[in-house]
Amino acid sequence: MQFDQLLQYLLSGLSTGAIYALIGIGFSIIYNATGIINFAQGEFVMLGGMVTLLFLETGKLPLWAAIPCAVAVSTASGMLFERLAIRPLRQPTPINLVIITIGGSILIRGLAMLLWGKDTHAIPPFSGEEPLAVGGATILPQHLWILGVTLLIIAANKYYFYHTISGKAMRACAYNRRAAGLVGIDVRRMVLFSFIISSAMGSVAGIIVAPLTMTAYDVGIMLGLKGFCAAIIGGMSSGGATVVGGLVLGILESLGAGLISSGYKDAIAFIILLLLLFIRPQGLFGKAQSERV
Amino acid sequence: MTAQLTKIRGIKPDAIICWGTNPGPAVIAKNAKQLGLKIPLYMSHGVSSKKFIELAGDAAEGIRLPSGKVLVADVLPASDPQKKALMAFVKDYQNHYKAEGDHFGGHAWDAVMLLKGAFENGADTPAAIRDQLEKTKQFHGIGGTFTYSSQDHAGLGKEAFVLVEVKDKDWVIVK
Repeated sequence: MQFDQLLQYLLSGLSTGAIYALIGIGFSIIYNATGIINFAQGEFVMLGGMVTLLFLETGKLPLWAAIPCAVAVSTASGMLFERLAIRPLRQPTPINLVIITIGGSILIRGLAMLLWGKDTHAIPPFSGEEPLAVGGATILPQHLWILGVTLLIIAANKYYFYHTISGKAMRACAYNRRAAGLVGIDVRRMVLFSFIISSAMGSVAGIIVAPLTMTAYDVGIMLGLKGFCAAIIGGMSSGGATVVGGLVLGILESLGAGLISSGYKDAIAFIILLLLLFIRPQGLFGKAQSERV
Repeated sequence: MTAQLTKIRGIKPDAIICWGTNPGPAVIAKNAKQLGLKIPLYMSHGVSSKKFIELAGDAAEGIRLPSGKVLVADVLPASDPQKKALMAFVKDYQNHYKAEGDHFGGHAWDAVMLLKGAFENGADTPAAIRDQLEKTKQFHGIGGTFTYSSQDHAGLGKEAFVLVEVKDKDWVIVK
């Protein structure tokens, strides 16, 4: 096997992995604020791409204007989801909440199918389709956008959680909800915030990947599961570990497809997921009983 | 799909055949362009609609595939036995659905028209319908010219297909 071939696998894996990382962090943020896995996370990824398309084609907006509008709409639907489906629950046990998020994801997917049909759609790339040579490998300008936007979001995320009052309050909820409530933190508000941040991040992931992989009403399922897998590798941390988890997953998938067989591409992610859940449920890097922030 | 295509590029084949339906082939077309693959890329009739060109964009240029004649109905020679049926179908489809007719809708059209013919000849039980269908000779439909017999339930010959290539965001016939 040649070096440029290996480099191509790595670069392809990195850009897919960055998407998984973004989605995975969305899972972790909600998990840390509420203790539940939000299985509707993938649907916000789908909404990002599909709503961008709506603004582009029906709204006739230019791409740079359609993207913020789409993020706003997806974030608003994340807020609505929390208000209408999560908050009113009388017995918010984890199992009830998780089932509700699964129900919510089926509902959102169904509505999207009725609204946009079953066709696949393409979003134009942000800056052209001329391939760029890196060593012996080639990437597209869109790959640079994916890596750049992911880095930016992760940095902003870090800043929010460690340098702002509301971010610190959210971390406090993750450590101990009851104690956070006792010192005057409005835990329910933090839960709402967590849904806002995750749906915004999910929709951005869906938008930046859409020019490469296309988008359709049902892309949320697979992307959501891969993001979940990244979060599990990262031990449900909303920081570096999940990012590494996403990147590792992306690269393993790409190497697996290139060196073993593409038939196993998706299986690789789920084998890792199952192995980790059985053997190291605290994540690849976490110590047992570590604090999850 | 860059990983799979990189692997394929590594073994230096003469051509690539991609058999699938959207959106997979459109992603492959884009990735092949990204990797700078110069060898011919052949696809299946699974992508023979304008949707594929729309999804793959510039990357669709030069891709070849076998397809029914409906895609190129307007440039078929007038001597083609299917020409009349195809032109009527394309026009009616456009008027009715405000979309370009392709062979996906065409297959359903053929099936219903063949059944209509069987009913008109008085078939009213499953066995009678089958017998009538098997008597079909030279039915100029959208998918091809069908001639059935008790042995042949596919009904099409090689002349039902043309090799098309994407050129300037449209289909042209490869001679």
